Amino acid sequence: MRSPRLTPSAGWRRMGPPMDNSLAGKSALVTGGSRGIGKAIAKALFHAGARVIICGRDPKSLIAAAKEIGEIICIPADVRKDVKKLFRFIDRLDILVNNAGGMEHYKDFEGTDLAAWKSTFELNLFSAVEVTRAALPLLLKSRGCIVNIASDVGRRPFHMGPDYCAAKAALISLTRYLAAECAPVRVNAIAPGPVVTGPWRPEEVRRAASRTLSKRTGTPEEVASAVLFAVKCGYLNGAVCGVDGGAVRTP
Amino acid sequence: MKNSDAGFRGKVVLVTGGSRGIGAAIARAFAAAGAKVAINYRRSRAEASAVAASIGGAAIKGDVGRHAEKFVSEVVRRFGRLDVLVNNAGHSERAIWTDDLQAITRDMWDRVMETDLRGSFECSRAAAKVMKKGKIINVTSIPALTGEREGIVYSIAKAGVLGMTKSLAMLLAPRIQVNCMALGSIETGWVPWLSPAMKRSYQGAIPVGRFGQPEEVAELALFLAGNDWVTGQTYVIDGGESRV
Repeated sequence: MRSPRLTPSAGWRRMGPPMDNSLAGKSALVTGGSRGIGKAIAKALFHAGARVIICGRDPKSLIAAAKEIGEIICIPADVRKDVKKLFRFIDRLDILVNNAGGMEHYKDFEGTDLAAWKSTFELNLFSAVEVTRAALPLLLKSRGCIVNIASDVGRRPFHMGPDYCAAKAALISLTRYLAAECAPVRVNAIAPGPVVTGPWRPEEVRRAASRTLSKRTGTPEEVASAVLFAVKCGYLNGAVCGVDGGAVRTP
Repeated sequence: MKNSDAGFRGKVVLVTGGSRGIGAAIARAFAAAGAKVAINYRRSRAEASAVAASIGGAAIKGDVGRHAEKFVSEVVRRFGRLDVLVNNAGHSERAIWTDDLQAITRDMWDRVMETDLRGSFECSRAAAKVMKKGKIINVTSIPALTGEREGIVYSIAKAGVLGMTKSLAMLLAPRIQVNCMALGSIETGWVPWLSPAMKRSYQGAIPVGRFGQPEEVAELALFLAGNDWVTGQTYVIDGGESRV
């Protein structure tokens, strides 16, 4: 695997230079950073002056993200199996954002067999475990921090995807556990509510919006601003920061 | 992403109990971010006036439990609007910190509930009347989530703030976002009460190895005041001490 270091100057012209330099000199890795919430996080960290590395499964969307954001480093890698390879390209790290994950199906408990549970836990929990394991020596050296992207359904379960709800709950528990063991590395979680990142049907968006107090879905930027806060605030540790428009009801 | 230096230009912020400690740090941070800041105080006129003068804000006297409506409308009269309310005022009395259940008097109970619970409720209600869109930020503390052997009345009042936050978030949505900061051990007036050995033992229980600074709480307040999609939440800021 080569390290495709991309320097698309067009991105800079469009977005302008970094807006503040509070993270200047810091290196950040965002897993699943080429699309959706991950891309917004990468952009926010970049605009705060960090050196940003994103990884993802699809080289095309990695390149598209880099074109949009600016001078960032893209590494094609599947966090379920390429963690060793991924960390061959990383020699220092201050900020790890375990963002890669997703809901692979919309089935209830009866419809979810063990294979589905294993697949969901691999994508949403074990990948974060392995990336964290590989990153920890670097983070201990830099006294850095970890931000895990969980979900509001990890705190209050959705009416489907029991495996996904449980995996996100496990990620939240892992966050709190690591907050003590990994000191001085700070470990926090962000729990986003419904954020439209893919090709959602209008009625899906409406239904998701209706289960929040805000009566709207969130934007990737609103989640990214919470990640930036968690990175910068030196006394935030072991916290689970809900960013969900007040997701109070499940249909 | 907002530029932190001007993110609150044109906004008006009211911080109750803003004459010292965490309240003063929050007031200063909002002022530095461009906001007009009013500081409410009950007794500490000199301190409140000094903080207000240093940030070009106003110091407004009033008891949060009794005069909320009066001083909230005073803020609107002086600055024309209200965008953010920080319910920071809390009752500080060393005697309530006791493990002697029988030593807690009715008056002690009333004093804590009056400020920490009724005060936040009345200020929120008064603010909801005058805010068009805005944010209410409550302050609670780890004992509300974990219990506290030597602070039962305090933990009861602060647990009430958790429920109030969620219910207010529902009542005032989508116009006003209501959130809560659950503070761990922040270095303010209580720290000198500790012996050096106690201080070491307290800090030893905190993964980041130190007490938090009022300015770090202010960072959280600014984040909550600046994000429109965070509501009904309690954010714990304790250096990893409680992990709840």
